[in-house]
Amino acid sequence: MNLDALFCLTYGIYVVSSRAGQRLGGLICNTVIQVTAEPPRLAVVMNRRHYTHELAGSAGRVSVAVLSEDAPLKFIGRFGFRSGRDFDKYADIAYGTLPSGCPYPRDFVLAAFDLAVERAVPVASHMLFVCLLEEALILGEGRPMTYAYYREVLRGKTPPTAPSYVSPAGSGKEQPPEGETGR
Amino acid sequence: MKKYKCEVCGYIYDPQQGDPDSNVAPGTAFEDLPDDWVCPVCGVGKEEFSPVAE
Ligand SMILES: [Zn+2]
Repeated sequence: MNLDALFCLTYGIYVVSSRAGQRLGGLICNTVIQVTAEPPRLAVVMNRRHYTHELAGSAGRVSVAVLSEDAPLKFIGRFGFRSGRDFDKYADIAYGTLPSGCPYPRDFVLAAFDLAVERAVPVASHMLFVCLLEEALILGEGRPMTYAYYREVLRGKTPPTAPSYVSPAGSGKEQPPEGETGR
Repeated sequence: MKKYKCEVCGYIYDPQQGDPDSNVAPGTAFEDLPDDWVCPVCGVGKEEFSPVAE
């Protein structure tokens, strides 16, 4: 099995956020796709260890913000490489709020979606959220960032919790979800 | 030699360890890292690092 074949798949780069009460969280995600047109549904996949997963699970709502190519690594790193459990990612950046209450970053964002979780399907280490589109906004002009642009032009890195991560050993073995406390 | 922390992702550069993945030998001070060295975790440059208070 040649796991390099997986790098032929193309993706975008998104900030997926949620809110439960006063707690806000967001993460960088490459796995957002539209799955139906009438009515529009989106699928969002994230690691079950993430704080945003915890918020999304209790709120049943998530937002997706589409990043533009001018988003710097520093901005992406804020959402992608820290845990919302020990760092408030929305503390000192400009953000807007969708009707559901979910936040989205104001800067470096071309579009935002407000989503209601219709079904949450556990897939080993990850959760597949199938969501109904409740609101959609165009917020800027530019080119949406792709995963290839992030890796090749920005020289961005991929954390081990991402669905697209391939470990240096390249075993392709399934990793069980870690850090689950059974709550 | 001082340790330096990446303010974006929290990675700590420890001069005693260096950064073998980027061919930085153990014992290399942060100040002596090449200008194009980047955080091995998130990819930002040296300007995003600050010294860790001991
Ligand atoms: Zn870093």
